[in-house]
Amino acid sequence: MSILKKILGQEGEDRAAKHLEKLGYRILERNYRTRAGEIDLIALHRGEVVFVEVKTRTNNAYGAPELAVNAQKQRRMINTALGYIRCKKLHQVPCRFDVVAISAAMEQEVEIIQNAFEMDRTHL
Amino acid sequence: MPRGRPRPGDQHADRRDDLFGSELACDPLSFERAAHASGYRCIAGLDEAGRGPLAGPVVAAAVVLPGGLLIPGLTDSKQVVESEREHLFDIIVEQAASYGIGIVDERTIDDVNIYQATIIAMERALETLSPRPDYLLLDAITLPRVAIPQKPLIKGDYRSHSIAAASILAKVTRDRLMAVLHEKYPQYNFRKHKGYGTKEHLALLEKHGPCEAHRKSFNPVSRMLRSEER
Repeated sequence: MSILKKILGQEGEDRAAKHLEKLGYRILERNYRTRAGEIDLIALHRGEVVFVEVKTRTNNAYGAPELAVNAQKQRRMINTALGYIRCKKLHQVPCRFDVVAISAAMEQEVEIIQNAFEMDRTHL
Repeated sequence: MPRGRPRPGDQHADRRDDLFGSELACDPLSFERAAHASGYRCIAGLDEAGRGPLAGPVVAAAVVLPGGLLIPGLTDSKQVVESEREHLFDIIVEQAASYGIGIVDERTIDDVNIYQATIIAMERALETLSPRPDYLLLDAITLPRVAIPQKPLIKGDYRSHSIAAASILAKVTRDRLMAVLHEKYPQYNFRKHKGYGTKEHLALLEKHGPCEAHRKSFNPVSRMLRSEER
């Protein structure tokens, strides 16, 4: 990953976190990393633990950012989320996966897709 | 008839049970049995944790125990020490026919008041139960929007095993959430007092001012925020 891309991603995450906090998300972790993978943001919102993937796009050439979380990425996110749930013993707390789509060009454009995908609860 | 310990064959022993009600700690399944005798087949106990604290969510749990199951040591969550609660939590999760947890955060508590928030938390806990129960045992509360027969019991966590189980799930889950909030706002020591208005919490609240996890509609948080505005 190029330095430029990294900086861009970091900026997007900052903006996403600020935006989510305004909406009542309580950000618990940023860049939560385990061997299983990485989750951009972990938050509490409306009584649920929310695992958030932030997608920053410089243009729309390859489609909408919310579609960029493919099956492999979802699996990695779910496995990382399970690690967090185990670590904090939150097995019984409702949880969900959100995707926040941010456009690098347009300052104000932030879109949140709640329940972007689901985890099979039998994993727990 | 001399008073004293009832002996086998002592007929008055039975009468004494009737007089004081078999509900009085003698039989923690009496309400479950009564409901079962009336034809109900899926009986859930509901309870909540965290109506009183100045910070953090209110957590509700609903538990359906398999018929007749008694878990040794299980009673009202406030009478059980923390380590034992953790142990009971695992047993309940493993043995329950089904269970559900519902959580309502501080913002909603401030918006709708703690009583309504508790009801919402219980509704959420119920939603995740499957199959849906046909009878509810609750601790001195009723759910007006839920069309299932309900029995509110005063001191329910003490009188019904199912409610006691729910109280353990709610309490332990809430404590775990407070531990997570403690990591985000370590200056208040939530891990220790779980948001309750202890001397320590009040002193730290005074020193640092309220944070996002505090219930803005609760005193003294609300009073502090008002005096800040002036």
